Formats: sequence, structure tokens, C-alpha cells
Amino acid sequence: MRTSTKVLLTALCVGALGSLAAMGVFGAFSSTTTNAGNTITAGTVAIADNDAGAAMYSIAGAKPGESVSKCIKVTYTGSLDADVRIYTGSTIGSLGQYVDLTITPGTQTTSTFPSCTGFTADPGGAIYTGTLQNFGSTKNSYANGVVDYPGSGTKWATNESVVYQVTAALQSSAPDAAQGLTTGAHTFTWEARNQ
Amino acid sequence: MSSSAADRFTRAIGAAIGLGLVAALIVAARPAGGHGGVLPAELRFTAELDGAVTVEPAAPRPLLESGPMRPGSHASGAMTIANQTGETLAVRLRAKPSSTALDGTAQVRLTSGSRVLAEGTLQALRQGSEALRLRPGASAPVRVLAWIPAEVETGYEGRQVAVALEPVEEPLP
Repeated sequence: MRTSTKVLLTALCVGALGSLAAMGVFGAFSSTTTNAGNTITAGTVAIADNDAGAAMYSIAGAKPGESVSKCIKVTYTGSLDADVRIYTGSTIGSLGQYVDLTITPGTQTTSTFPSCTGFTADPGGAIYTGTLQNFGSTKNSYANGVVDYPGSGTKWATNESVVYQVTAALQSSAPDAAQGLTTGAHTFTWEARNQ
Repeated sequence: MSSSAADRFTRAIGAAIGLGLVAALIVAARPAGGHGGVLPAELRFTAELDGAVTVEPAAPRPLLESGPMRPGSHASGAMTIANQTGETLAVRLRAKPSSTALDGTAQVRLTSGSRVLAEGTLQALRQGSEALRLRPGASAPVRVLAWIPAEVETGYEGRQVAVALEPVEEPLP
């Protein structure tokens, strides 16, 4: 047998044995299973009103006994059920002690801020009655805010709304000392938090 | 019949059967004609309300459910949009599709009465329609027409897109 033939046969044998070894190494059985498409999307909490940035009231030269009554529609558009509380973060000026504030939830056939035409109060009546100063000192954060829900419910759900009639009146018994005083600009806040 | 004639006859029959089989295979393997063999597209429009304007029907109720759509299909729906504020508002409607799957394929036209607020691709409506002027307490009907142009050949198959129409307001003097 020629040398070249021997070399060739040796290479063939080595190759064949190597192939067999490779089959042993890589020839394991295999199986997998998967669980695809996992995702998490956060819900939303969103609340809005129909004031378009305008104040409910702004009275200059108010007289004792004078009152103003305006309506604002608050709508919840978040996807998560929520609680809503009403408060003011504003500092109320010294006239606040002579201003009676009433907040009454209800419904309205057609809402056009700040008109209260067609407003119907909920059977429960007002959710806050007291002076503006008291509102500012006792309802000044979400923690102590006035709680309210649409109708007789216990949550705000998507697209639910409540019309609030806000009445502010300078007491007819306001003393002379009240002359020239002001409440200062104050903001009513409706804050929603998911349940 | 002589043996050579029988041979020729047998060969002719064999050739005919062979050709028939080939023709049957070609016909069977031919792709389906038209659009009947592919899954249709589907569009669902809802309208979102916010504090300033209210819409009817409001999400999650749909204002348009297209059902199966193929090139040439049309679907329409309508809603009413009302200004709840004490200001005159310019209200534009902006599309927020759930995916881009039909962005360049589906066409949408928004009209209010005889006025066209938007017409173009779903993608274009992401930028918003022309403004609808609404006085305090006023409302206006908006009609939504969606279609896939007849000349579209591909790019719609089996695609389902939910489109939320979001109002964007701006107070007018």
C-alpha cells in the first residue's frame, strides 16, 4: 500500500471517528415551552372640569347679604376607579370669616359653565356648609378634603361626572370691620386618587 | 388494431393523463383571486370626553365599528360634541390609534354638516383635524367615514385597530 493511500485512509478514519464523537456530544434530545406576550399597562387617573380656566366668581364691592351661586361640572376620565376629595390649598383672606360657603353636588341637564340653569341637587343635599375661612382651615388637603361620589355610589368610574353648585354669600350680619376686606383669590381643588 | 397502433394509443392516453394531472396541480396551487382569501381589516372608533367638552357616544361605547373591511369597503359613524364651558372653544379632534398597522392604508374623513374637518390617512389624523368652533353650551354633529381604497392590494390583512378620537380645545376670543 502506498504511503499516500495510507495517509488518506488514516484521515478518513479520523474524520469518521470525529463525526461519531460529535454526534454523541451534540445529539442530545431537546424540548422547550414558552409563555409569550406578557405585558403590564398602567391604568390612569384623570379628572377635569368645564371651567376652561375661568373663575367661578369674582365679586368686587360685595354688600352684606349679597351672594353668588355658580355650577361647575367635574368629570372623571381615568380608567381606574377613584375617590375624589374637594379642598382648597389657598390661604383665605380675612373676609373669609364673613363669607358663607355651600357646596352642593347634583346633576344638570346641559352644563354650561358657570350657569346653574337646570341644576338639580342630589337628595343628600350640601356636602359642605360653613364659612369660607373654615373651609380653608379644615379642608386644605386631600387628607381632610370633602369626600363625594357620583349619586349614591362609592367610587368614581370612567366618564362619571358631578355638577357642583358653589354658593358664596357675604353674611348680612357682616360687621363694619369687614369693609374693604378681601378673601383673596382662592382655588377649589378636586383631587382624584385611585382606590 | 396492430401492436404499433395500440402502442401509440396507449402513449397518447398516458400523455393526456399526465398533462391533466399537471394542469390540476397548477390550478390547485394557484393563489386565491381577489381579496376573498385573506383576512379583512377592522376599525373601531371611540370618542373621549374631557372636562371642557362632552361627546355622545363617549368611550368605551364605539361610534364606529367597521366590521370586516377589504379594499373598497366603507364604514361610517357619528357623534355629537358639546361645549360645556362658558368660553367659545376651537375644538380639534386628534386620532390616537392603538397601533400603526393601518396608518397609511385606512382613509378617514371627518365632517360636521357640510364642512370637512379632516380627510386623509389615519396617520394624518394623528395631527388633528381642523377646528370646530363651538359657542358656550353649543353642540355639533361630527360624522366619521373610514375606508380602505379599492386600489390597495396589501397592508391591511388581518389588521385590527382601535382609534380613540381625542378632543383638543383652545379658547377663542
